[in-house]
Amino acid sequence: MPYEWSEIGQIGPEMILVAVASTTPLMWVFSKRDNRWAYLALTLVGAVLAAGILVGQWPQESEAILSGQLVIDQFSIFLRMVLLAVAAAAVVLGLGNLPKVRFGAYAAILLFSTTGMMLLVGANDLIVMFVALELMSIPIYALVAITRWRQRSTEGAIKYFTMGALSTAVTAYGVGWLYGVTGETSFGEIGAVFAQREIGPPEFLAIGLIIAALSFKIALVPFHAWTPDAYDGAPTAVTGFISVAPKIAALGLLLRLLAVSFEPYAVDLEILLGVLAAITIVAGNLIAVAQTNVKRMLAYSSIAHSGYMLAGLVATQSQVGGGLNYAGTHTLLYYAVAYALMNTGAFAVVMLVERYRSAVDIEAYRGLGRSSPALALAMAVFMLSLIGVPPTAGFFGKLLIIDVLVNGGAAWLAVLLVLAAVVSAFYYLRVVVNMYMRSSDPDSKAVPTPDAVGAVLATTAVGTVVIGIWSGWLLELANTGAALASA
Amino acid sequence: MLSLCVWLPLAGAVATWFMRSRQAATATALLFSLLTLGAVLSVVFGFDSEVADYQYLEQRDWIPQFGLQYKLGVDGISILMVLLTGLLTPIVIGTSWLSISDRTREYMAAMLLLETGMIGVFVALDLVLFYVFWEVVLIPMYLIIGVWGGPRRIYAAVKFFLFTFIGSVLMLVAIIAIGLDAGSFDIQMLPEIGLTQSLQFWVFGAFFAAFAIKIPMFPFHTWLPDAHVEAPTGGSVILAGVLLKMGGYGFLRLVLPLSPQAVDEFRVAVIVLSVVAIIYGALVAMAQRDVKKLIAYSSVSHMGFVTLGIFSGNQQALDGAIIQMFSHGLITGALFLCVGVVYDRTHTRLFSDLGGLAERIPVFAVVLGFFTLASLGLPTMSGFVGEFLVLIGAFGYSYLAGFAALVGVILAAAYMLWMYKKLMLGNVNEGYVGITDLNRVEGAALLPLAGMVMWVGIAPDPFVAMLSLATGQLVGI
Repeated sequence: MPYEWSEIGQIGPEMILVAVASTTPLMWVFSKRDNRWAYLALTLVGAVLAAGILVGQWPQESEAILSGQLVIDQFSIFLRMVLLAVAAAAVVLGLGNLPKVRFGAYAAILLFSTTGMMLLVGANDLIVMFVALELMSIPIYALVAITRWRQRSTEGAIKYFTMGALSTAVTAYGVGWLYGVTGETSFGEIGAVFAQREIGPPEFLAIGLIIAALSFKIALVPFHAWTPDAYDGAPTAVTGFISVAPKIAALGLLLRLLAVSFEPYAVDLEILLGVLAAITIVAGNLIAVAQTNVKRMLAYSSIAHSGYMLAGLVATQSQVGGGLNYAGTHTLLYYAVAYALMNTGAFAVVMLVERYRSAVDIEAYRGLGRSSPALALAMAVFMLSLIGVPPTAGFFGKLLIIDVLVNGGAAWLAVLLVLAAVVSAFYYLRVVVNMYMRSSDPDSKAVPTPDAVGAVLATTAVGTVVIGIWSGWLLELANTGAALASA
Repeated sequence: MLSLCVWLPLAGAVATWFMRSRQAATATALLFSLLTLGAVLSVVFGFDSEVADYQYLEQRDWIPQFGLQYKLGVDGISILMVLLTGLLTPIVIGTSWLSISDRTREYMAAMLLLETGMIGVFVALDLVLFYVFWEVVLIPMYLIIGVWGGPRRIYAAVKFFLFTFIGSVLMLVAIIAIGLDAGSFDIQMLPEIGLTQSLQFWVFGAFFAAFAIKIPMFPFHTWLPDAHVEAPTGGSVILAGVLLKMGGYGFLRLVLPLSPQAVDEFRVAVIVLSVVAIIYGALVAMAQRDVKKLIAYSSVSHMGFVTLGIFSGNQQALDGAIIQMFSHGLITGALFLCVGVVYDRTHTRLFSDLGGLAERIPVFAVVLGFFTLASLGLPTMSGFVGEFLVLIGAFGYSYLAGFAALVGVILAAAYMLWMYKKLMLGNVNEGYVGITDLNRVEGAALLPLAGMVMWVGIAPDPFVAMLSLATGQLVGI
């Protein structure tokens, strides 16, 4: 037997998700009814079990399992935990948002995608990486199209799929080049080969193709063209999920590649990544300013947030004794949590307003502060956090990124980042203005908050503020997670 | 004790939020702001003028992984600012009882949250903590202008937010650069550690952007008239009374000690801008048709004295700058309250619609006359003390700057008296026959301010004594 059973146990969380996701179609064999609460309970029980295993893994030494194809280290455990939580929140939100969809199908597809993401952040081999990328992406195309009777939904899905297929091709090409140049598929071995030589055109092409392919998934400018239509077309619960989880997973993978495989060329790549981050931040924010549809505005602003997260990875710093030289690993982990909280919450509010006021336009938010004070307060917290105003998670996340940039000699990017935050204040505040400073039309409906959505909103809003003030413990975890194993 | 001053208003804001009726909300807010005032007064009376260093120190770890502390303390520079905040907030809350009828609960909660932020800014001794309080101030003020303001309130609120925010984010980058360079965010320790020279210039630039916008200095002042005109009375009082002082305080607390070389380098430029602000603000004030705009521009002029004093580089000027900040907070706060009184009765602030009010509301006419004279710097009132000290200091720095500032004093007399004449004297507007004089709440709000103005004006010694050791240290650096 090539594998130890204990190694299989290490991917227990992923196996549980696959099991839950596979069970739901089986249940249709016995009952034609779409028993939403049963599926929800099943998913949540699975998520809690998976989370339990992850917590149990946390204190372990990092190790490469399954012949070195996957790495279980604090970095991947941290991100798997975040992804799991985002997926659980998305399933709960889907409960209220998708009346005509088979909820079991929605939950199952979403969990398959989550499995792919969780494998992706632990991937340590080109082949596993490729498979995990596809396992992540293909269910997402289906999720976007899940309200298939809506034209925008299918249109978004087709655009997403077309661009996604292109990025798959680029990935495959990049993997081919990388293997061709190095003769290895393992991340660590690739790094070892690169350490022996200077960067030349073939190496640069191979690395460039991989970064470009991941840029599609992360939605970095200029590889972002699919995002607005896909985000806008997808049902809002799905938008919340796909604007957070795949980005985090792909950034995690990118960081592992940068730190493990491409590490010998870190200095050469710094300027490339810096420019990529800079144009993403600028373009994402500038286009978001022009949006009056809140869903599209959040879609473009999520591009900007991808840029912020990437910016944290730009600065490198040589460390004594080799190993990790990406000073900003902890910023990615911290910002991933912050971003997951505030963006999931914001989309949950958008979802409720869309449902009860039948509009995603900024005008639909008028008078929300009076008619639904709690909902408006939560939305205001998310908007302020997305801007980066203290005391919120978004502020502390930006603080960490700026710290890394200034320390790493990329102060220009830090200044750009904060100026972009000012631009972003302009459009995020428009939501606050409409909620509090404009009165609503007399015939606009109240926006109630169903219990399940309310639970997600309360968690995300309180979490956004709490980790903005008491960030120490999370930063401690992120610092631990940043000790990336270069297996 | 300082923690109590900072967090009591926040507790009050939460309590206010749960109140059912308008009266209960206002009463709760007033109670908490008075309790805070009590805590502030106990700090002020317990303050030892013989000690140059920070007092009432509180220190514990906040986010040790990032080197952040929860550290509070007051010294001579901050104590008067804390007192000013503690004094003005209950006055504003009390007078808003009458003027705010819509969403009173939220208004009161915002005011108290604002007080937490303002006191926090003045007592924070950790740079990041300072920044957090600095930004916490921004949000409630933005809401106060935007929700309870006049017809162009949204434009004014967004302009206020964006102007202040652009300065403060640059400050954030500077704060982090300082932390990395010096290895500490501790405001108490940083002057001893010192910064490398090249960094000092960047830090100066970023801090200057933040504080010059906040104070505001010419040419960064354009948000101020908009914000003042649109803000409700209470918002204007706090904005002019305390928020502008945060800029001056920032110069004193951070810019002078942390970037002394850059200060020397840019001293002339800042002094020139200050003098321009004094004269430009005064001239523009003369041309206004709206009382609030006139007072807003007079603030630009008066705050010019503050920056002139701060950058003149001698102790009289620094003492004068701080006294001037304190006094401007009292006087301009009172003037905005007076404008509010007029507006509540006549629903206009335009000179063309007003006039001859002295015949209708004689008590108010006396009170407004008092604060008008205080504002133009009449001796025996606080405005005189601040401006006089600044002028001595400015002459000590350069005769040219001193003379130019003196012109500002003369212009102030002109536009303030002109304002009084237009409002109170001349023909009676027949439309305002039935208007009532000052009521008890307004009287009770204005009386303590008048008392403080006289106290500082006649016997400034205890106030100057409180701050002279701290300013002496600043000059020594």
